[in-house]
Amino acid sequence: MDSNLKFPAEPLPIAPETRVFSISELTKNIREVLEGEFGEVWVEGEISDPKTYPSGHTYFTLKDAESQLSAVLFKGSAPGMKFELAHGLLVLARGRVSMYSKRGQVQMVVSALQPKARGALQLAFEQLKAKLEKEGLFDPARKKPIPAFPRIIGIVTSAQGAAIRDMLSILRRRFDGLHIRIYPVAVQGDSAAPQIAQAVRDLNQYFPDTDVLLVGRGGGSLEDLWAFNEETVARAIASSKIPVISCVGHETDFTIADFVADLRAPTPSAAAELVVQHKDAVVEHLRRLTQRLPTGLVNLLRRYEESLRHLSHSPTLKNPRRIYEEPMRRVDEITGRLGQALKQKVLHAEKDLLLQAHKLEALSPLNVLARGYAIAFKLPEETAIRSSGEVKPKRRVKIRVHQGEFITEVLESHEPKK
Amino acid sequence: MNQKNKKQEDQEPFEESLERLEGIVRKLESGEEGLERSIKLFEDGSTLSKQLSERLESVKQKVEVLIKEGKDRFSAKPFEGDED
Repeated sequence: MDSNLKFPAEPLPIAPETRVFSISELTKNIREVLEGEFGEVWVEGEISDPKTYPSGHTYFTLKDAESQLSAVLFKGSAPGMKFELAHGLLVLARGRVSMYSKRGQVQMVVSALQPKARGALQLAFEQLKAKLEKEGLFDPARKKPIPAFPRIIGIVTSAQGAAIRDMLSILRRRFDGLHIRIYPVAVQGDSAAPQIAQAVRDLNQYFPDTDVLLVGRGGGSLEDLWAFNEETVARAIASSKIPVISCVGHETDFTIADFVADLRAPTPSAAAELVVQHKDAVVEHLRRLTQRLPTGLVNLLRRYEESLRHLSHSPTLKNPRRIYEEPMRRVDEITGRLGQALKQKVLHAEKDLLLQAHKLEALSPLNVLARGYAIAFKLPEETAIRSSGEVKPKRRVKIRVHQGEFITEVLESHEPKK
Repeated sequence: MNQKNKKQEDQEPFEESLERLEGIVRKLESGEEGLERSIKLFEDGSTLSKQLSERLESVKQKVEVLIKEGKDRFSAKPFEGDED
């Protein structure tokens, strides 16, 4: 035991009338003071680290350069709030400052919030646009072609008002003979967006033979048109298998529905003009095409006729004998010349022959005989005798003369003279 | 009208029929086909033209308002105030 420590012999004196609070009592008092003093205040600050819990409540911090304050936005407190609490967003917030006893924390319970720099709707628009664009919902490749000759047209809009009447009158004027299905919806207010989205889905599911959908409304303020900037409407249009033409407000109004649709028309009336061709134009086009049918065929036949005529003018066809006359003449000519040449040759040959024949005749031994010569033949061999030595006296010899022959006997032979 | 409306017209869409007719006219005018084929094309074209004409005239204008009566049930009534 340390005897240097000195404990007070007596507890600290507290005046009997001093109020001693419990923590709960004190924090409750603090809360009452805070709420009494401030009530509802407007603050300006930067949102930091927003966290939304499964309960739907969002806890965040509001801060400026030197200080910070815890804040909470309970689910359902600001039902009309369209934008998301983003870290770093500068806002104006309205709420009650209070003390949360359980945690001993001063906290602002926020009942309204708006972005300081832009309008709340404007911010919500930009946030959703960025989000959906990132998902690729605005991609031009996703856009379906609008049928050129739709027969059944679905219209999602208010059943009252000028928009629907204008659309119907234009549609009838341009193309009598359409089947138009109107799906009436609220086009402003909180119930509008869910109704519009459901209409698009229902038409896809229960009326898939619809050729095209017109979704829109007449002109109004940003708040009036707001339903067409809601995510549920955008997603319903993006998922539609039926092509969608959006037609919201005036020429200068661009809504998320316009970015997501397969085609944007600046106004409902413009959509009606766009969606059908003028029937007269179609009838006229068809008429002209039909007219060109016989023309086309007649042209073809005329061309054949022309070819035929051209061919028939050709000299050959006019006088078909020409085809063979000319060649024949040439043949004749050639054979003619050939014949001449041949004849000449033959004549020459004949003459030649005659000459040779005469020559031959002159040389013929028979001719020699005619001149008085005789041929002596040895007997019995009957060979011609050339030398006297070939026969001895008393031999028989045949002598042939020009006319006839006779047999002689050799009397004597003489040696040939040298 | 509480059932899914299936596509009633199973015929070729108007646009495609029209394109076919345009194709036939082009072929005839170019004269690229022979005589017999051209005559056949001409006949086909005439028939097609007549069909398209009829389709343009056949349907009467019909404007109806859909009324949702339950989850899957719809009825239709003619649109009132549909005067010009």
